[in-house]
Amino acid sequence: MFATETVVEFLGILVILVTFEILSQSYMKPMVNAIAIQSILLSILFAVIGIQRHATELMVIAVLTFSIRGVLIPSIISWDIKKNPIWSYRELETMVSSLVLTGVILAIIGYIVYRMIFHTVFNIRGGALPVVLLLLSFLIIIARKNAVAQLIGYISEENALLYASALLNLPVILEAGVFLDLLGIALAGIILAAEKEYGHVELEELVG
Amino acid sequence: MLWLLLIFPLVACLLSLLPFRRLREAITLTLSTLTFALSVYLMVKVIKTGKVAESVFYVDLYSAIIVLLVASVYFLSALYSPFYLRNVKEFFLKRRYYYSLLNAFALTMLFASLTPNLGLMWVGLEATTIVSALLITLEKKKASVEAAWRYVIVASVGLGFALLSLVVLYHSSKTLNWYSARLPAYQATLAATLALIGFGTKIGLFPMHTWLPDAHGTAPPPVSAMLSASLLPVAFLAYFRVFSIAISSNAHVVAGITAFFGVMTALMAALLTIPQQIFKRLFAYSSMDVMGIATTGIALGKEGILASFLLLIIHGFAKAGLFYGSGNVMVSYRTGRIDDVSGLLSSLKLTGIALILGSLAVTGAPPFASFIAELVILACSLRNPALTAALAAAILISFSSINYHVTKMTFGERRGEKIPVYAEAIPLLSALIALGISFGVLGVLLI
Repeated sequence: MFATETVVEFLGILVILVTFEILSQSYMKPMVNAIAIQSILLSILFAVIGIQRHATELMVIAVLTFSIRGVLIPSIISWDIKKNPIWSYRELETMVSSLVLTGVILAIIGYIVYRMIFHTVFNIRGGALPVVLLLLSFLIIIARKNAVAQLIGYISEENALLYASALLNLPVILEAGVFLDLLGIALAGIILAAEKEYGHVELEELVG
Repeated sequence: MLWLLLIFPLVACLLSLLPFRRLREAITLTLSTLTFALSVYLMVKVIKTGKVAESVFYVDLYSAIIVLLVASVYFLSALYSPFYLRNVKEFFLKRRYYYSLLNAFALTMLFASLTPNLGLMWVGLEATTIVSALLITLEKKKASVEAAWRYVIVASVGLGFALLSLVVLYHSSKTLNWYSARLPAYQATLAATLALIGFGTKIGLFPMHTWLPDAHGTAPPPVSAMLSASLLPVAFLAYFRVFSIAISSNAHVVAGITAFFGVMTALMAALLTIPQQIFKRLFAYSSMDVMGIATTGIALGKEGILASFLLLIIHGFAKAGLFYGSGNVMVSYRTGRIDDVSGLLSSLKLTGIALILGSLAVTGAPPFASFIAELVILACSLRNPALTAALAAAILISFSSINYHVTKMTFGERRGEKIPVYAEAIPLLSALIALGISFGVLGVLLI
């Protein structure tokens, strides 16, 4: 019991560190690799919780997380990056150092918010980690200027929501996971279709 | 019976994938008509018995109102779509997917309205985002793709908050069914506040409204009608359920928070209607204004809740009419700008009348029942004079601004080209339904 909780918490901390790696990148390719790693770490986390609770739906979520957010969507983006050189360039207006610093401040705020507001409700070990992950994901979406980076922020947000749902045993987690994935695939589809019609440069303007 | 409300649009969605244009139109129209008829039957049954519980569904008066609204606008959009599609110059989304997605859009909204499980309601709303975002990109315009992107990104952030709210709610009450969930006041306040941010994003509440004018303004008119007249009320229903749980769990502070964000939304939207130059964006801000007033209404007690739902009904039909009318104007005048349109009453007489009736209805002018609804909400707010003053200001500003813009379009020199009468009849039919319901309500009140 103790060992499982420790493993889950350790994996959660690794996920947060990988998210800081996403925040610190100006190039698209390392960001894509980092989101794939984040998703794979979370799929292991879901599998561990699933085995501990004998919960089939969590095992399915683990498989979905690995296959769709860990492999499929990152592969689609990587293929797109190879095809269109524009994504190989740095995102010039992103101030990475200040973004990382903002991320650290946000993580501290997230922890304080969790302790002050959510802790009395949940009181579970590692409960602050999904809240911090969610805030960092919002930061990626808000601070990044191009559509691909925002899609990565969306996947990270989805991971945070499923992480919180898994820790708290939400009954509709499977349905939520499936539809969040469908939305992620739809987002990737919009990027590819828009690129086909309007070219690369214009895609920079798909700001959320 | 309730399963049929989902089976009809599902069958229509699947059959609409067939490669025959006429067949797709006919199937969608037939099955949307059946869905509409069934929703009327459900409404009658709920009025007689108070609620209908069947299998995994649970419908009370409020759900029945929203189901009726969704099914009606679904039917009207199915009726209007063939005309508009014939006038679209270039498609971004493949034309053959349009009807399938339109039916899927109705299906997801009906599902979200029929289920008593807040988790499944959330799933339904998530699904509406997927299909409606694709529908927004129907026409080949860069602005549509940008609007769809902004919509999905902002809505996904909002739905994230909504899911967190459900996590709090489930953890404390061990159920997600709105009719049985009860939790301690602190947890209820937390869940409702997160739901206000989360579902409030889909309702178009300030400050999470940024997607709304872009999405409603750039979507094809039949889709704009469904977004405005049915999707916003479905999201409103979801928040109303969490709000009701919070109030019955003695979290009364939630009423104050809800009223604050409601009135801020109404005021902000009313002010933003003034400088609008594109008529579809004007109507989008008007939707935001009405949703703000309705959100304020639910925070003001039982009378306020009834008035809010009455406002949603009148707004739904009138706004659908305004968007179909906008489609006619765009086809006839080949513009979306208010300043480029004049003389509607001479060139497109029925559309002009529909726009006048629609704008009067959405701004709460008598004899429309929206007038009574807004009056009741104002009366309920009298305990807080600042709230009354802000609400009254919002209602007055939006009334003057929207009717001024529409009057500019309807009178003056004739400019547009003729369009088929049946296309002109649909917005008028929608506005007349709002008028008919208003007379019905007035009749009931007088009796």
